[in-house]
Amino acid sequence: MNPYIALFLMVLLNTLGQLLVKRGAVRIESHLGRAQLIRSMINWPLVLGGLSVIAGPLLYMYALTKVDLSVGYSFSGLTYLLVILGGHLLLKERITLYHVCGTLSILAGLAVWNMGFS
Amino acid sequence: MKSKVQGPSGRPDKLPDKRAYKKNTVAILLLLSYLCLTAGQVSAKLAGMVLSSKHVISGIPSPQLALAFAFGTYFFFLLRGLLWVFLLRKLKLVLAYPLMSIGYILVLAVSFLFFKEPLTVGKMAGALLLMTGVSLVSYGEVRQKKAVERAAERSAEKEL
Repeated sequence: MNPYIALFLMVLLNTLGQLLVKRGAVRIESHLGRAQLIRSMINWPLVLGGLSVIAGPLLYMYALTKVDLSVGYSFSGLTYLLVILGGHLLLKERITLYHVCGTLSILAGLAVWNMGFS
Repeated sequence: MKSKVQGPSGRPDKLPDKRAYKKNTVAILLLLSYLCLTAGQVSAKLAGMVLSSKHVISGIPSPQLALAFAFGTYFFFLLRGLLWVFLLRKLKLVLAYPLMSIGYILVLAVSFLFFKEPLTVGKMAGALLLMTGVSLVSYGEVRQKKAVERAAERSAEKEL
């Protein structure tokens, strides 16, 4: 697999993980005893979120077998972009002008970072 | 019992003490987060290097070494997540995100010093742009939350 595809997948999984864990954690009920606590923890958003949290670093380590650490780490900036998009599309969160400017700055940073300019 | 008696002069000192204590916890949490971030990244890169069959430490068979570094990566990533949750309890979002984005500079430094990766002007400029972007996004989050609160207040007033 191309290491950049692995990096994009990792960012996607990280974002999904964050959104899913957020959604699943709300369903945890701790006031009805331990059995109920465990049962409430096995809900599909939390399990899927947990799986993507586990898979993310695996993909990252795979990508780092082929690219430099500084190149790999810069891609974590994309998480912000996807979290904003996901929050807007799934949770109907509003996007402000600051979000747009910040995202553009992040994208520009990523491009400049990886283009070199020694 | 002299120690149990509280003089009136003891009280006014307490408030600044508490504030200093809070500042210290935030500083310690931040330092630990930075440490976990760099340790996790170094560990992930080392795992990658072992997996691509480069010699990192001679004498230890590479499958075990790769497993150890992978385990370290998960450990530091998890610890960093926990520290982040605690940090958000003590620090506002607008401050926490920009402070954590200093990690871009840290990782750049580590990859240059540890792994001898080229440090270019583009990477430094990119780090600054990324940090600016993260700060703007976190400020946008605050604005968005305030807008939601205001809308909720308005609808509550309408119901009354």
